[in-house]
Amino acid sequence: MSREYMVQLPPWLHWGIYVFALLPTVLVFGWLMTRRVQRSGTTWGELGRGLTEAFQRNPKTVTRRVVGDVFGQVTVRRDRLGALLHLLIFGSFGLLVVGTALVAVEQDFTRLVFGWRFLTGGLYAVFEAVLDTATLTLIAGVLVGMWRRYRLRPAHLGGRTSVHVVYGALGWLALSGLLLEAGRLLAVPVEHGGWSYAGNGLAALLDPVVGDHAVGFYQVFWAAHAISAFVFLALIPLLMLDHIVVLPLTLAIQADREPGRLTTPFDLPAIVEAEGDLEGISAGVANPVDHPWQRRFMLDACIDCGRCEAVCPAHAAGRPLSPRQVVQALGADLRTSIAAGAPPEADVFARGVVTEDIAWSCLTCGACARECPALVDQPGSLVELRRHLVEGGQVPERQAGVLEAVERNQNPLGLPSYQRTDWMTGLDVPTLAENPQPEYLYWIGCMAAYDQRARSVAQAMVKILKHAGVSFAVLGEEEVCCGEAQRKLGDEAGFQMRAMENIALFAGYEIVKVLTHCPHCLATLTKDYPEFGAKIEVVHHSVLLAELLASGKVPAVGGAGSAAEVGTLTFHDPCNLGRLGGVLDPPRAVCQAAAGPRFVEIGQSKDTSFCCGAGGGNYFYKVPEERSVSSLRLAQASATGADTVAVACPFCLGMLEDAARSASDSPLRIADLAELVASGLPEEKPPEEE
Amino acid sequence: MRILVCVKHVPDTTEVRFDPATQELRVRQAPTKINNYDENAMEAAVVLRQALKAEVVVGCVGPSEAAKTVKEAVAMGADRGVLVTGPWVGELDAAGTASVIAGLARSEGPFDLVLAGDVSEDGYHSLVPGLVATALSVPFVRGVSALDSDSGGDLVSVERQVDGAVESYSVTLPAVLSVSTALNTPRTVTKLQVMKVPMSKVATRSAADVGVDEARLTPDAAATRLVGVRPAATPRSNEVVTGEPDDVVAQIIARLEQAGVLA
Ligand code: SF4
Ligand code: SF4
Repeated sequence: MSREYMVQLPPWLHWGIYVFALLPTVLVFGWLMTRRVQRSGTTWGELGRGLTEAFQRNPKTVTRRVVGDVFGQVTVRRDRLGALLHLLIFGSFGLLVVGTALVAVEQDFTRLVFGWRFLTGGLYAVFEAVLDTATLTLIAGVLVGMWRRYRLRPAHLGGRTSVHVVYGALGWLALSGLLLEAGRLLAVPVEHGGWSYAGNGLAALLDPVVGDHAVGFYQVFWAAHAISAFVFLALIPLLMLDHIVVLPLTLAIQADREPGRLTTPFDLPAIVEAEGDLEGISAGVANPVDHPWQRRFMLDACIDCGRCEAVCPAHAAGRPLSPRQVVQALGADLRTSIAAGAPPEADVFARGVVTEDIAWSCLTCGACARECPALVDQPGSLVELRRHLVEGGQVPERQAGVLEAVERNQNPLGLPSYQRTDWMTGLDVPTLAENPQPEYLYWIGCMAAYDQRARSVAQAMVKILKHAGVSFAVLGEEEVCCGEAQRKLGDEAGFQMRAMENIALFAGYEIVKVLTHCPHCLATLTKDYPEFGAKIEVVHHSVLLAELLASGKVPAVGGAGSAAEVGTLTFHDPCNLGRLGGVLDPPRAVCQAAAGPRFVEIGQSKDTSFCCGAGGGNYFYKVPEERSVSSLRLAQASATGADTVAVACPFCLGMLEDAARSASDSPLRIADLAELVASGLPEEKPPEEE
Repeated sequence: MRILVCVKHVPDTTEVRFDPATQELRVRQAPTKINNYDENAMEAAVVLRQALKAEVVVGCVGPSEAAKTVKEAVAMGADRGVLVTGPWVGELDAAGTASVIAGLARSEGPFDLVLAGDVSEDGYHSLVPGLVATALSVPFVRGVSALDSDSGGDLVSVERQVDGAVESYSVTLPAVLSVSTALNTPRTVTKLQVMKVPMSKVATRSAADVGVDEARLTPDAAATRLVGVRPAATPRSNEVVTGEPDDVVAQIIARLEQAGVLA
């Protein structure tokens, strides 16, 4: 049993198909793809070097990312319906292309050269059945896609016009493929035809209609199918299917980009150290064409799928930001600039490509980047725009006030630096002077030092650390802002100088391990500082709390009526801790210890968590919005029926508590993990009574 | 056009603390910065510089650390800066400061326009700009809330807001103007912009360099001297109102009406 190959067709087609169809297709495809790559100002040479460098840097990560995302559809899978249609089309189309290629290889290569045919017998039967199934699932995929796009019409779906062409073409290719198969089975009936069940069924239906014209019918559809297939393949670079080539490339080049990590445009500490020239250095970009080629290629890789927009909390709150639209606008502007051959005179703001409000709307929560199948760095691109605004002195008053406060008062809240230690009055907190070699340097952060509500987090932690006998010390008056707000608001140089000073401070005290309850400080110290030479290990308090609970050094919260107080508990993942920091389980272990079976998850949790509204410096300023981000998050939390929302970040604490206060009907209590754990501690006794 | 902008290096008022134990203002350890009000004068000068290709020089009388304030001001967009310093800076009163600034204006000058902020955050005297004008024998307007250079002639039009009225003046140059915060919104300068100002753009001069005799700047030569600071006791009547919010609001309104605060 084997394929009757090219029956009833002129014999010259055996070679003619290669010369007149395959070769031109490959040439046209190559030419169009080159133009596709060049439209973002990128060359194959750069791409080749980028790929080599990526593989040399981090072979495992790159391979895992590309294989996982291309064959495992890891990122695409996160959007249910999108995943279904994509898997159907990708899988079926892939099988059909491979199947067709196998027939060609067998007939025109192994058979001719070695006289060997492998698509025979049982294997051939399965092969036929699989390909027929793939044709049907391809049709199903197209139908699901069309149903989603034309009937459901989710608001986030972008609209590259070529999508319509692609659906039409795929549908036609599947259909014409079935028709030609039916025609072949009618023209040259075979015994094993039943394995090609779809074609066979169609043949039975068509038999009365086609009658004596089976051969002609077959020839017509063979030609139509072959011609459209080759034309379609050749034109792929013009369609949204260009992503078949573009996405794996951009994935590979950027695979080892750490989530939430911003670009570092210069190394100011190093330049200052070397007394180098500062004249030429600058941060931020005025126009997308000013980006290095990797980022240009990245912006141009966006397929307008809208997955980012669907999860963006700023967009949900009715702010003027849609990450999809920003990336699309920057990409389009980039292509125009490249086509024009000269950079635009005015920047993107002056030319109305994006607005300043858009740039300030981003919470740098990273939800968009987590969903993006093209690995676009949307928050990074928005911070680049902020850097440009800051460099030009175009900073709104509130943001400027924050930047000034960090420089002058050493904290973004603008409170006097000498009040930094007010929170520890009367608590007998050891400073480094008193305990010069602690296991942990407890880094308090500006929120707990200055914010009246957040203070209690640090106070609770001190109580817990003392109870558990953990060796720790604080910097006290010597602690200053870590610079997170500066970096996220775009003051790159201010941030770098601050990082340099703090790193020197750590080194001076020979600090190796830092404990912090603030995920913003955590992210800054672990993601940003190492670039400037920090050699410290940073532990979030949720991790230490989980350890202390597990080892029994602090009691679970259940004692002395505290469980009743917690009630049903849910947990809000801070973006910087969960999605961007990868710390997901320890806070849950703490919640379990506090509420046991009465711990429930919010629908959008772990790496799909929804920002509290404070990220990216947004705690300190306002942008136009229809609803507050924090009220949206509070609603998601209260939908769980919880009595208490546990948080693990002083900013989340402030935002959600504010939202709970303004939603007058919300009885939700907001508490930090440390506060929950501290509430389970016995009342403090003087040491001699213990 | 040539413009001199006077900036003052002051303790950061948000960082000055009153120590209740010693009854002292802890000014000395407080971090220092550029006087906020002078930033409005700088902004006005930078706008004129862009519009008229004016030359802008920053002038400052202060301790040697004040070089960072001069740098910050130059970073806003001036051509260069001059810091006049010496062992005497801590002892100056307003008249002494004005005499040094006038010397600076003469030695670096001539200037068509001398700009300064209306007040300094640490002294709140509002004396120096007027005294500089007197020393230079040129006209002076304070509280400037609008400034128009009339495209660079030898007149400027200014407005100032006083008690609900807006006065318009035409002022013959050269002149001294002190500006109010209503004049403009000063641009923000980033750390990087400040760092990019080369030290060669900030010159340091002694009193003698600007033609002032140091002997006239001693505490004994000063006409006024600060001899003490104590907190001013403000009598307050604290009342606590309790109850339901609606009730509390009504009570507070009633009290305020009683006190004659609300008509
Ligand atoms: S940026 Fe990414 S997620 Fe957003 S529309 Fe483009 S490809 Fe989709
Ligand atoms: S980082 Fe968050 S707020 Fe910013 S664009 Fe992405 S999803 Fe929206």
